[in-house]
Amino acid sequence: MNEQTAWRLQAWLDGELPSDEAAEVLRLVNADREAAALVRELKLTRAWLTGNELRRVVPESREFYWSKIERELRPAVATAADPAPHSAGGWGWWRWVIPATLAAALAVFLWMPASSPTRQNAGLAPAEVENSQEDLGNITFRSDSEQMTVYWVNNL
Amino acid sequence: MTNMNGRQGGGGWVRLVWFFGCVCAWVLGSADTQAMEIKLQAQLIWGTNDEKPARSECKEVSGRLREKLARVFKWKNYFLIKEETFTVKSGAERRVKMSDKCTLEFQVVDDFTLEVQLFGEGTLLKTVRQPIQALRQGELAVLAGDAKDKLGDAWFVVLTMPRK
Repeated sequence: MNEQTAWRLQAWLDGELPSDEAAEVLRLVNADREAAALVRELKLTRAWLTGNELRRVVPESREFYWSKIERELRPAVATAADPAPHSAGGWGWWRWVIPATLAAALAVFLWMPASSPTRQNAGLAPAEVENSQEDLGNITFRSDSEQMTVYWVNNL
Repeated sequence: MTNMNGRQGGGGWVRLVWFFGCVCAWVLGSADTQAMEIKLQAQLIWGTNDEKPARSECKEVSGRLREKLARVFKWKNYFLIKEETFTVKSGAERRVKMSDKCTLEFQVVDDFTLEVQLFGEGTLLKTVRQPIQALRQGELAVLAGDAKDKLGDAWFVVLTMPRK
């Protein structure tokens, strides 16, 4: 008996062959002693497997068993949902840093108008002069050493 | 529990940010609405090489101002004819009469600029924009000219910001 015949016998036992082929295999089993022995062995093996499969029984109720699985899953979900800065230690630190930063920014903002170079320069910009009457004798000059700006008017 | 605590902390932050926002708005608002007021002194001075007239009530300029004037101008003697100390508020014009011929008008243009207009016998002769910060730091703004009444003499209007 070759391997292909052995596969056909197994398929016949499993009911997978068409009726004409099944009749042919049945004739072979009745005529051939080796084929009949293989069929008996296969039937016996199937019977052992179906009748003696080990049944594992959970020693807890169904609800309790699934609740344990749910508890195992929940911390992982919570950790994934909460970003790291919201952990107790990190948040406590930020609680002081952010107000300090805001206070410093406010202080700088309030201090800038009086001391910013741009504004100081604006405050010390050269004086502007407009002459309402055309008079070439009008002169403007500044003495740096005396801190004095002179507007000389010749028409008063 | 973690989420609940985090939510409470977030609510606290919202309140804190609101507080800072209100403080900033209050500070900025009060700064904007605060009227600017500067104190000025105007001195009408006569510059001459002559001696003081016997009947004249004017007094001689002395001290640092005389030294400064003498170092810049050619005249030997400087006599104070009139002195006015006044305040100029932002948004309002201030007119100061120094003599029958000379009147000054002041106006705070912005936080940095003081506008001075010189009127001679009612006619606008000159408009000057003077940096306020410079005045605060001791700058002298001097409007001056040749005296028409007496050849060789000069008049000065010295504008300063008094320290106190």
